[in-house]
This record gives sequence, C-alpha cells and structure tokens, in this order.
Amino acid sequence: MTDPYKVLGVSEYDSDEDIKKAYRELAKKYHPDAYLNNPLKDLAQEKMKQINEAYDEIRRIRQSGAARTSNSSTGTSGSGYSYTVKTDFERVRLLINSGRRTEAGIVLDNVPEDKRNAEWYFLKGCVYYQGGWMMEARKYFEKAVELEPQNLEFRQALDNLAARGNYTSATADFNCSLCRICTSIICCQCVMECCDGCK
Amino acid sequence: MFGYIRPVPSELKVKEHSLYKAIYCGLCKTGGKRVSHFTRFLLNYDFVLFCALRSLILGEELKVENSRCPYSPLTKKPMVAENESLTYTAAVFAVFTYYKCIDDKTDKRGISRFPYVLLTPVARRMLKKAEKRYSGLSEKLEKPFQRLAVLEKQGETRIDAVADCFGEMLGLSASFGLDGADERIAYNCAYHIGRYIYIADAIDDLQNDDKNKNYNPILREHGDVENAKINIEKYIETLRDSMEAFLCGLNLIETRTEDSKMLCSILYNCATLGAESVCVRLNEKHSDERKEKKND
Repeated sequence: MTDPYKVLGVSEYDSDEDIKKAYRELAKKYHPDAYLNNPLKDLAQEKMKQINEAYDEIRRIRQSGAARTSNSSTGTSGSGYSYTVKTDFERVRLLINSGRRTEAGIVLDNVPEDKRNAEWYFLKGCVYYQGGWMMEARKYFEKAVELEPQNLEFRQALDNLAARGNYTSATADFNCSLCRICTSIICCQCVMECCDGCK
Repeated sequence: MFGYIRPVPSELKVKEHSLYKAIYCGLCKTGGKRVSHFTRFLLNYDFVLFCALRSLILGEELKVENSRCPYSPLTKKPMVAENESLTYTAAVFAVFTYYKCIDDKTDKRGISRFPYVLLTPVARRMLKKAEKRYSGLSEKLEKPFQRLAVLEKQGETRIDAVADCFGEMLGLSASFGLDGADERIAYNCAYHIGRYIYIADAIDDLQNDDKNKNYNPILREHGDVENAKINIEKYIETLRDSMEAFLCGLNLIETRTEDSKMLCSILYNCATLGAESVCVRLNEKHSDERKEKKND
C-alpha cells in the first residue's frame, strides 16, 4: 500500500490541522462536481477514493478516536445521477456514465421530436460536453434550464460550465440562490406588513 | 496558425521561466537536428506547451545543459538536452507543418500562395523524416485532417464541428504510443489545447478572412464581420470552457518529481493566466473596433 502521507502531499510531522487543510484542498480539486460530465470523471473518482482512503488511514494511525467527521464521505456521495426517469433516458445516462457518448447520441437522436423535453436537452448537452463541443453543450444546457428552471441538476451542469478556476462555485451559486429566496421572502413580508399597517 | 497559449512570465517562479525557455531552445535545436533546419524559422510557442505536456505525462527527468545556439554562437544558452518528448514534438511539428502547407496551398490564391508552394517540398521531406522515427503518426492524423478539409469546403457553420477535427489531431498526437489512463488524459488535455487554438485563431482572423474571402466558421455563422463582432463574447466564453476542461485533465496527472511539479506549474500558468490574457486581448481587439464604429 502507498504511503497515505504521500498521497495527501503532507509529512508525518504536520499537525492535524495542516493535514485536514491539505485533504480539503485535494477533495475540492477532485470533487465529482468539478468533473461533472467530464470524460475523465472515473479517473477523478479513483483519485478521490485514494485521497479519502489516505485521509482515513492517517486518522486511524493518529488514533484521534473520535468518530469520522462527515468530511470523509464527500467523495463517494454526490457522484452518479438519480435514476427516476423513463427507460430511454435511463439508458442514455448509463451510456454517458460509461463514456459511450456516440451511442448515447444515437439513442437521443432517435427520440421523436415531440418527446424532447428539458431532460433531453440536458442529456444531449452532456453528450456534446463529453466530446469537447463546449459551445453546443452550453446551448443545450441553457435550453434545458430555460425549460425547467427549478431543476438543480440542469442548473448545476450549466453553472459548472461557467465556473472558471473556482471549482466550488457550483455549490456557492446554489447557496446564493437560496439566500436570494430568503431575502425576497423577508422583503415580501415587510411590504405586506406595511400594507397591513396602512389599513 | 499557432502561437497562442504562452505563460505569463511575471507569475512564474524564476526557475520555471528558465525551464520554459530551455524547453523552447531545446526543441528548436532538436528540431533542427532531427527534422529540418527550417524548424528554427517556423517553431512557435504552442509546441513548447505541447512538449511540456508530453514530458509531464511521460514523467521525464529533464536535463538542462549549456550549449551553443546557431543564432547567437558566441554565448552558450541553457537548453533541455535531447530527450524522448523533444524528438517526438519535433516530429509532430513536422507533420503539422506539412498539413498546414497542404491546407494553405489549396486555400490561398494569388501571390500569398507562393511561399507555401515553395515550402511544400521542404515540408514533405520533414514529414518523411518524422515518419521514419514514428511510423503511423501521420496516418493517424490523416483522418481528422481530411474531415477538417471537407468541412471547410462545405462551409460548416458550427465552430464546434471544425474545432473538433483540429482538437482531435492534437489529441491523437499527444496520446500516440500511450495507453490506459495516460492516453485518455493526454488526449483530453491536448484536444482542448487544439480546440482553443483553432477557435482563437478564427476569432483573431475575422477581418483578414473577410477581406481575403477565406473560410472562417464564425463568419459563416453570422454572415458578416459586424454581426460576428457583436456575438464575439460567446466564442470567448467557449475558449474559457476549453481551458477549464484542460485543467481538469491536468489535475489528474501525477507530479512526483521536482521536474514534473515545475512543468505542471508552467502548464497551469499557461492555461489560466496565459489563456485568459489571450481572451482579454481578443475581446478588446473587437470591442475597440466596435466603439470606433459607433464614434464615427
């Protein structure tokens, strides 16, 4: 087995804090969100697995005793798609996940035009993205978001494309939109109270 | 066609910048020795990037030595000693030069065609030398090149489709002779370098291509230069997407030795700051003209 300290790029004498920091940085770098739809996704997952194992190993060696923090599971969750759709799309997702984008594209092209919904545009975007056709991918993701603005998966795919040098922005944007919802609710409340007061 | 992605030297460590220059010099010298003396006039920075990528993936140990350069014979310059990735990049350079010659010879008309007619026999000789060492390389690139030629002739409007061919050419050459994860990473990284170069070139050449009536996918899509300029930001956005995908690949390459760490840092600089400065330049170039038009 490889040296867990080497995997995280730290030394045996570093403090727990430093190791945690190094781990977090690496986890951010290889997080499945950063490789959403990327053809090299499986390699990143493997890397993430190694990092998680190394971190767990170090923690075990250091006998911190306490229960594992929630950090150690960030890698394995979040990956993969939710399978709750019609069979055709389900198959396309499986194909995309295993990197067979040409076949996925053929299946998608065979879907009749009246059945092309937001998800169809999203999956088509994924196929384009995997092939490196970023321009087309963006177009299709935008269309998917336009058709179904409340779908987080589609939005995340688009945000991921727009994120530049900042791999966490996909989730940050999400928080931001939550904030926006909160503030707008508060604003509404204020206005309503004002009206009430006028009465 | 080449020479877009360069590092921003002020943001590099001094040793990294000297390594970058040493790779350039080493590549120039190796190309002169292995392929043709013309390499020295034609070489550009994108191939240095390519060489650095290949070297990083192979995990090479780089030996920098002082040796004489034919263009400043009085002083010795530090350059990377000939190694596998330098010879290979020189061969790839030869193949690309040959294809560029063929492409331009058929595209251009009148007097501008002349230098390419002269250059073609030289390029053919370069290609033969490259073939001798890496057989099968030019055959592998033949297919996407032909596809590109057909699309250009048809006047394809989707820039993704044309840039895909060029990306594939670079991707295939970077992954040549590798297997497994290395092959996939090399392909993906180089694919996006190629895609970036092609699209940046198309944006850069808008005016020239319009004047000379050359094929340009952006012009095809938007009809004329004015329309294309209004939509230019869309294309610059896609350049950034490509560099983002390149970084995803770059992050997956193992960097164990000191040399590979330096190479990785150079590539990272190129893909973030270097590529961004190109985007800014291209955007300004076209927005300046837009403003001037408004003032008139």
